[in-house]
Amino acid sequence: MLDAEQLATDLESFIRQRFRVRADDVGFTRTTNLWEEGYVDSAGVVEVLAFLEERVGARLPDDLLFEPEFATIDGMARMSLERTRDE
Amino acid sequence: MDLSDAKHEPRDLAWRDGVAVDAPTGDDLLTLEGHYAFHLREGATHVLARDPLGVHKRFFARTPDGDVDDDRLLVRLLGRHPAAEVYSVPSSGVLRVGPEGVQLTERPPLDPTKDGEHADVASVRRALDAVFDRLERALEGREVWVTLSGGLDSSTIAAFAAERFPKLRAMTFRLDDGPLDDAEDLVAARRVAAHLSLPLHEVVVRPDEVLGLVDEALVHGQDWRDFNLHCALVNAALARSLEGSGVPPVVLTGDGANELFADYSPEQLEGRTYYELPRLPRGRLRRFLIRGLDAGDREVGPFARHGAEVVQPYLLAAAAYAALPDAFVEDRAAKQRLAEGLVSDRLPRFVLERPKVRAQCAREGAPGGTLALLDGRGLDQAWLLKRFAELLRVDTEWAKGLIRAGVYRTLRPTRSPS
Repeated sequence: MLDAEQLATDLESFIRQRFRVRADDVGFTRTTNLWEEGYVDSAGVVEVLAFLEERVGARLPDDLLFEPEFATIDGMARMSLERTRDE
Repeated sequence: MDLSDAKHEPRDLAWRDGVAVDAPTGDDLLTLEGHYAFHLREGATHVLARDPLGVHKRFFARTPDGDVDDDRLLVRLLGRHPAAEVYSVPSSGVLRVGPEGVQLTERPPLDPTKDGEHADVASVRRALDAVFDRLERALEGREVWVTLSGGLDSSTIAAFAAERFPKLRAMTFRLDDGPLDDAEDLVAARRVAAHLSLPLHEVVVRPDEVLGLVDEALVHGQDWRDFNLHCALVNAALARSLEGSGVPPVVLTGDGANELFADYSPEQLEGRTYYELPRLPRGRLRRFLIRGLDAGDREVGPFARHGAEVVQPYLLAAAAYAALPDAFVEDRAAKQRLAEGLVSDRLPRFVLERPKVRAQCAREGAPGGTLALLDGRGLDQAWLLKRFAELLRVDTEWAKGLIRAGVYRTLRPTRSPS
C-alpha cells in the first residue's frame, strides 16, 4: 500500500524533473513552500494535483489546496493520503 | 456608479430532470442543474450551494455570533468582513454551516469515465436541443442576445439560438486599434450574422475606453489572472453597450466550450508566452479545466454590472460533452468533427475551418485585442494581481491565495456528511 514516504519520494522526483529543479539547489527540500518559493507556477499546480490524484487514485478535495500544510512535498503527500482515506 | 455596484443580480436558473425549480430545498441542491447560487436555512444551519460548474459565484463569511453572511460579489463581502473569514461556496457540493460545524456533501464530479457510457454527436445534439428547449421556456418574452466572435463556439450557439428566439440579436466586439483586416473576428462575425439573418450590434471600442474598464473587469470578473481579465474586458465593453435596456436582457454565449474540449493554446506575443497551460493530455486536462470554472467570473460578473444576464448553453450541456471519450477529445480536430454533425447544415463552411481565435486576441495569426493592448501598456500579471488586491483592499498574498488550480479558496469541512 502506498505510504506518505513513498508518495513524497515520487512527488519530489516528479517536481524536480517537471520543473527542472537543479540538483544542487539547496533551497529545494521536502519542506520548502513550493508556491511561495516559486518552484511551481500556477499551471504547475494543476500538474502537481494531477500527479497526486493519479497516485492516490482519487480526486483530492478542493479545500486541500488551501491548507497551509499542502504547500510542501511532505505535506502534500501526507494530506493527500489522509484526506482520501477519510472520504 | 460605485465600483462595487451592479445594476442587476443574476437570476437563478435551476432545473431538476428538465423541470424548472424556483424554490429548492436543501436536499434538492445536490442534483439541481443550471446556473445558480442558493443560501437556504435548515433551522440554525445555513445551506449554501452553487451550480455544479460554479458559473454563479457566491462567497460567505461566518459572523462572530454564528450567523453566515454571503454575497455574489467578493468586494462587497470584504467590505463587511475581514479577509481571513471570507471563503467561496464550493461548486463541488452542498455546504452546511451550523452549530455542529461545517459539512460538505460532495456531488459526483463531472468527470468523464473511460469505461462508462460514452457520448457521441447524436447525444451531444440531443443535450443541446434539450438545453435550448428549457431556455426557450425560461426566457419567453425576454430580450435575447448572443455574443458572436465569428468562431465556431459562439457561431454554434448562435445557430441553435436563432431557431428558438425569433427576435435574437447578435453582438460582437472590436478593439479599434487600427484598420480592419480580414483576419479579424469582426469580419467573421459579420459573415456568420448575415448567414443566420441576425442583426449584428458591433461594439467598437477605443483602447483608452478599454483601459478605463480594467478596474471594473477586475472587481466584477473577480479574478486577477490575465487570461480571464483580458476576457472580462471584452465582456465589460459588450455589457456596457447594452445598458439602459430596461428589463435585463439575456445574453447567450459560447463560453465553456474551450474547457470542455481542452482546446486552449498558449499565445505568443512579442517573444513572450501568455496563457500557459498545464502539460497534460487533453483528456485529463479537460477535467481540470472544467473544475477550474469554479473560479473567475469573466462573463456573468461584467454583464451583471451593466444590467444583463448571461446564460452559457455549453455548460448547461456539459455532462454530454464530458462524456465524449478521451480518444475523441485528443484529436485536435475534435470540435470541428463534432460541429460537422451539429451545425454544418446551418453555418457557412468557413466557420468550421477557421482556426481558433480567442476573444482576447481578436485575430488569426499575431494576437491583438485586449491581450496586446494590456501587454503594450505593461499591465502584466504582476500588475493585475497588485491592482486587484488594491481594489479589494486586501494584501497581495491573500489575493494570490484566493485562487489555486482554478478553484476559489474554500473552507475545510469539520465533519463528514451523515
